[in-house]
Amino acid sequence: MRKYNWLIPGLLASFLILVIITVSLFGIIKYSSFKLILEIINDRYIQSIIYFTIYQSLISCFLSILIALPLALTIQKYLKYRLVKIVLSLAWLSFISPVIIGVFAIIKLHGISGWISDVSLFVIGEKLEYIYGLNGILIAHIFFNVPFALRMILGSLNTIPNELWRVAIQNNLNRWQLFKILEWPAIRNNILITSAIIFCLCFTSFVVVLILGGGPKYSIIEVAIYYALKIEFNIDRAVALGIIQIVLASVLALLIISFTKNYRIEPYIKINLKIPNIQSNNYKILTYDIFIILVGIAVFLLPIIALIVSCLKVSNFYSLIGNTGLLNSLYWTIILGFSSGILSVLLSIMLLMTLKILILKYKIKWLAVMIELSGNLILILPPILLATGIFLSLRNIFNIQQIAPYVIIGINCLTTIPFSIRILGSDYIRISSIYSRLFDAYNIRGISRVLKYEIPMMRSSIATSLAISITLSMGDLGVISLFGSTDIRTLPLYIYQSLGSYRMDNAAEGILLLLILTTSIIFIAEQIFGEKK
Amino acid sequence: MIKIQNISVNLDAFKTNYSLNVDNGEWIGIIGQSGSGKSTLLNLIAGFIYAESGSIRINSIEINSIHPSERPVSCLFQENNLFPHLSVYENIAIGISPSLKLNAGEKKQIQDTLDYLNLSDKSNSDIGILSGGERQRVAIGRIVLSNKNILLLDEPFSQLDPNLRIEMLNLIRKIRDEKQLTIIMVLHTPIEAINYVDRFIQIKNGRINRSIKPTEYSLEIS
Repeated sequence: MRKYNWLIPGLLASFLILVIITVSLFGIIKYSSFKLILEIINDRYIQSIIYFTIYQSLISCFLSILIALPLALTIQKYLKYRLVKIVLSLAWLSFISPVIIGVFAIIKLHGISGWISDVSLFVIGEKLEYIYGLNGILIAHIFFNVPFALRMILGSLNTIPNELWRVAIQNNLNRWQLFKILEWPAIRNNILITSAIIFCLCFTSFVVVLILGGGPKYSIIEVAIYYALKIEFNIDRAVALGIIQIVLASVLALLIISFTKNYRIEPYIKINLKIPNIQSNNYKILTYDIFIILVGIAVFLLPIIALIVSCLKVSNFYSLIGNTGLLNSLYWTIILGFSSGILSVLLSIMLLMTLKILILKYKIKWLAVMIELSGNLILILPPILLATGIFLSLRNIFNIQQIAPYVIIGINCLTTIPFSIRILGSDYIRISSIYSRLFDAYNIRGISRVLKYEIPMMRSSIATSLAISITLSMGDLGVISLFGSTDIRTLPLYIYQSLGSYRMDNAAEGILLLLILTTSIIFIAEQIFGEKK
Repeated sequence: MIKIQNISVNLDAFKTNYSLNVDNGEWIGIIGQSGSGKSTLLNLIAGFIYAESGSIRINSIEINSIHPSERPVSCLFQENNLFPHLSVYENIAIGISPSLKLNAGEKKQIQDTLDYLNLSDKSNSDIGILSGGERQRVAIGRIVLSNKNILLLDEPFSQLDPNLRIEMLNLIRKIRDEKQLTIIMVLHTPIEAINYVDRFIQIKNGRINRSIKPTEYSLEIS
């Protein structure tokens, strides 16, 4: 029996994950019938939501790439400047920070009381109202996804050998020829992958659409599930929408897994392009570069500046201490975020402990795939749907308010497991294969091997995955909005409720705390527990 | 004595078949082209790869099914001999106690080994700050402590500069003489080992092609 001890951690983690998923699916299936689904699919409103979900994802994806591509090609020449690097880091930070922070930044810039509206009042005498609806959704998606696309494209450009750049410069290739012969072949494949990821992110962009959609007309499937449950209390509709979401998300998950299986997305920006100086003394090229950089500034620098300014305006920091609602939200954000983040990394390590032996020693691919799949199931089961299923399953058995913290921790933990497995997996397998002979030679095995050798050697990737899991969990608005209450409220929910009742100052206070909390976690993970030199 | 008889394992390009006898205290240099199966032979003796057929006996005891840690064999690889999160002291300590729980006697043994290898002043250092030669000395320290009488060396010094390589070979010879070790060493630059090994074994396509005396080898290359 001792011979199979290595199977225990992986099977135990899979079991825990599958229990949560099964309970959720049970709730969904219990309330669904084929007839009901057919009826609801034929409902015009549902059809329009499916159409809008796909439509806004496509447009967001197209516009993000359209802006990121010329920006990447231009910005690569100026990466040697410190300011450019700082702006890129800020933009990347906005991608990995809780979405609600970015949405708040967008509202501060583009909202009815935002900077642009103020300028328009001054210039044309009236305020501009364009932020709610498709416009706002597209602006926010561009803000979030351009930095990501930029990073992916710059990463591809980095693979072009130095010598080829020199050959191109020696042969006096013009800008178009440089793009066609040198740059496009390097970025072509990555553009497809980046587009697929952006499409998926927009497809499941709950927070952006909930806040900026402005109501049921501009809604995606996940938000429609939320409206059906929370506002209309129409369980049939929520279940039907959930099933539609599972089908569409399964197709998307298959696409994204097949596209990204050989790619590792680095969590922090460390771009060191080797591109030599390309002469920019041509007047036309310089004008073009300035124009493109201005577009970039408009897309992601202005919202960040607006965010920083509004946080600085929270002048009386001590007044935060007296705001018990805010402090209660801070407490729950920390408790729920850390619990689900730590649980997520723990379950991921347990899965990997078994996966590693299946892959490296026994080469049993099908069992390895099954265990990995249990961790990645969440990709086809969006958190709001999982929460809906659990709500439906347990509402007649338990007092939902009492078990809410555990449900929130469980679902947010599952949501972040695919990220943790991605970040930890390659490092764990690498360390295991490099040191396997030493481990065998000195009989280092079992839990002592994991605790004394493998985990200390993985401290950098563990810190990264912990930081990402915790910040993602802290930023959740979907699950907390279903299970939250006046007693259990996190900062994102506090901010959302403040925005909903136009208490912008309260929202700014919440944003400031959330920003400090999440950036501190990311900073500590990178600087203190990061790669040991 | 190590007695290897028709040991075979399937590699991508070919199936190996090794037969070899090594006397106690002998120092063998393994030579051959890249991919010929030199390291595979060491991995089979160490137990990192299990043979599909044939037998390996050490002092008449069949070791084919014995776990690597229970074989009387120590290994020194080209790289990744040390755990980067442990200090010099701890990396050496693994040779006697992988749990790193040490009694007074074991601590004294480690200190003696550090003194012997001139590493006392680096005892608490991180592995990351050591030079290539120092790292290999730490790994040798662990081997010295583990008290196993067969040493397998897989191109351990190929990343060091020529002077340091000779220094390391001298250190290995000193340890071998003191501890009566049997050594099988895969070589990157055989010419440097002419004054150290008792004989060379040439491997070709997973088979032992021939055995050559160092004097014959130096005549051949001259």
